Amino acid sequence: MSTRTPPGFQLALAQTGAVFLDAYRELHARKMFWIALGIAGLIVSVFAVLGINERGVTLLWFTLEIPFFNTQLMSKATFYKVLFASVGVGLWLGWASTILALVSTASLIPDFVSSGQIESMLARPIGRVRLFLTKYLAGLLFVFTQALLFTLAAVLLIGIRSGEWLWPLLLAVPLVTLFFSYLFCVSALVGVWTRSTLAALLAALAVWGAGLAVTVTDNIVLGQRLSVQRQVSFLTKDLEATRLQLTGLEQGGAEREKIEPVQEGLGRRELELAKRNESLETWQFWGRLTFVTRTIFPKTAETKALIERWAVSDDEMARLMDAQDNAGQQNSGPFADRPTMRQVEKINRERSLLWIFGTSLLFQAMVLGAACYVFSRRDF
Amino acid sequence: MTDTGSSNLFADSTGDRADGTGSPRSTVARPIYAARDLAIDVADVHKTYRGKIKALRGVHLRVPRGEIFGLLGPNGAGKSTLVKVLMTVINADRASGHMLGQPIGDKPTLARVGYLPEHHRFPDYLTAEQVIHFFGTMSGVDRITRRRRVPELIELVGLAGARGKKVRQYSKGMRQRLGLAQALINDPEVLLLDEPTDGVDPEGRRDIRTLLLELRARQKAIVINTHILAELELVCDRAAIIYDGQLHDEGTMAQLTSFDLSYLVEALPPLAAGLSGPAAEVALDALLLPQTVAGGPSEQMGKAIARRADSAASTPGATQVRVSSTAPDDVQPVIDRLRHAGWRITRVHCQRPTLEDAFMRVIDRAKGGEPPMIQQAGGDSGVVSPSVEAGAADARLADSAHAGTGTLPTIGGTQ
Repeated sequence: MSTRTPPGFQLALAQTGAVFLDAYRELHARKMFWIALGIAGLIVSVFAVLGINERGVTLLWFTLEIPFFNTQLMSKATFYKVLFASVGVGLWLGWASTILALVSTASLIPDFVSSGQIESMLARPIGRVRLFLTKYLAGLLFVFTQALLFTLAAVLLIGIRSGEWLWPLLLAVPLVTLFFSYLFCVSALVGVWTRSTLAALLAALAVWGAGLAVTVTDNIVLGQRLSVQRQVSFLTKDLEATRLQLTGLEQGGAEREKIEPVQEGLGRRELELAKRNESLETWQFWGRLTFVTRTIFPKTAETKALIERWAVSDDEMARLMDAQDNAGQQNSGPFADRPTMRQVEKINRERSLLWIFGTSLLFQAMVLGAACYVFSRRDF
Repeated sequence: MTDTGSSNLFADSTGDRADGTGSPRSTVARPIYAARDLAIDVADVHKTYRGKIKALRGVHLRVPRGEIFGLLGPNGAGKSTLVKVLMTVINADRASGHMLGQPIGDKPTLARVGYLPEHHRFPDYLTAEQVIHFFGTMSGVDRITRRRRVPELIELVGLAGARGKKVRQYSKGMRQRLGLAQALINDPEVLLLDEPTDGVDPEGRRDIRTLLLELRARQKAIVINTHILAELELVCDRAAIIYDGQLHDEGTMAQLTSFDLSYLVEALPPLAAGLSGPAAEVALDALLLPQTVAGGPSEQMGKAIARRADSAASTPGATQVRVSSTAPDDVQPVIDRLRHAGWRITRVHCQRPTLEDAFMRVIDRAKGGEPPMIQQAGGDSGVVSPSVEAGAADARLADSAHAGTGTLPTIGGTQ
């Protein structure tokens, strides 16, 4: 035998390692990677200059008096966790960095399957499906590396700055990578199908946007349903009270002038309740529809939100919301009122992991299955 | 590239020859192979693109170990498709046969095969060393072997001075050399090269030829796709001509170019006659050509004799006569007659068509709707179909050509 070929498993391991090493070198060669890392460095430095005291948020040696951000309402640890979840993950890793990553990795699969490159890869002792999946996983290296470096730097800086070592925040690394994988699988499918970088990028952005739109719509519908439900509940109680009042009046032999207005009020309430019940049924119908649609789409927002859910406890979150309410915070987002907003947030925080991960991974498996099918069948 | 004569880069191929000698093959066609002697043995390969473009229509191919085999054909003939089917880059609609004893499409077998695709593009952010290491790993070459072979291959293909440079800084020729190196990293038993000398300078081409000949001596089976017919002529033992998805002719170089063999006689007119130019040609026609000379040499031998119209004689002022024969006896009466008439013989040499002539002849026949000169379906006899016009004289000519004793394969005059 002229060269020693490692046995099956060892060979597979070596090939996987080679593809990952190649992906790492490719990242190294991409300017976008370094730009993203530079911006991440700037954002991490914000954690170094921001702090919290009994009056508000500190920026270097200045204090910005913010009513519901001070050590009287939350601990330093909670402040940093909220800051990391909302700015670090919510804005940077979950948005800006993801867009940069999508732009940067959109060409990976189209380049890989382009004429001239793919022939050399296919002519090796490696199955097409394994080759494609290995390349796909290697494509996640961009976001994994970004998330790892960013989170590690943030945790270390926060620890040095505040003495709070928030190691659970490192969960952001697998969660952000997983969140990105939902989008990258779409990019991979369209990339292998069309061989177009632009099409791959647009498809990933479209699925992301559609998923977010469905999530927001579902939340709004949920909020409306809860709001109407509360009105129905209030009206039902009010109606019962009015009925009791009327019964009391009738049994007490009250005069007609006193009974008639109560009877009229009872009629109005019954009419109102019937309308609200009808409205509730409509919102429930739409709620079922949007929830099913939301279930089909990958849970990008929900996956990112798990970082806050795991890092900040329900009690901490409730205290923070109470503090905001007590401080006169009026902002209720797209919802009718703050109680509705809080209720929707509570429901979302209590979504099962099976629903969040299970349905998203199922979506990913189906998309990757289609991509593998296209890749396996295609002539290059 | 460096001389590979003493290199141990390439192990001898594991398959023994049918005769058990292990000696390099001679240049004469040896059409009978034992099944285990065949590195590639595929038949009935069909491929249709998008349900309408028939790229391959029942092609068969047999390449033994220790042979350089050329695939010729115009653009779109199906050469690259055939190679890609062998390398699993393209899924054939139908194909049967084996490569290195395993069914076509068997992935583990590819660890023993080297492939240089046409218009390849290697990652331009890698250095030559990294590219070869990467593809070596993908081909299942262990780390120790790679560490030993990569510098040797870089040296071999003449990239030692650029080993640290990124591929993006490479010229086309350098990329081609790199492509060859990566195809050799696994010391393949079968080497498939699609346009290996594309963009390579003359010195590089010569080096590649030298390398291929050494690999052949080590019993590697090599298949070359190229448009540069002269390249094939210099290194290939056998070749096949593909047109429109069908194999139209196949054989040794001698067999493929055996259809129009002749002697060329160059002579100057008699000094006393004072003839030159057209007048000399008219005089020569009157002396030799059958339509003017009853009972002349042409009629006596039953061989065609013609004056060359272009008359590109090597001696200034000489006129050329073409005798359609390769038997020395057949040309003697022509020489006698010329000498008797006072003509001075300046040169007599054998001439055979080039591979380009053979190629164009097959293509013209195919375009004219004539069927392939060989059967498409592979038989069970183990006989590689030779060109129908092969003969003993061709083999003689081929022997002398490859032995370097004549100018036969390379001189340019074509009819």
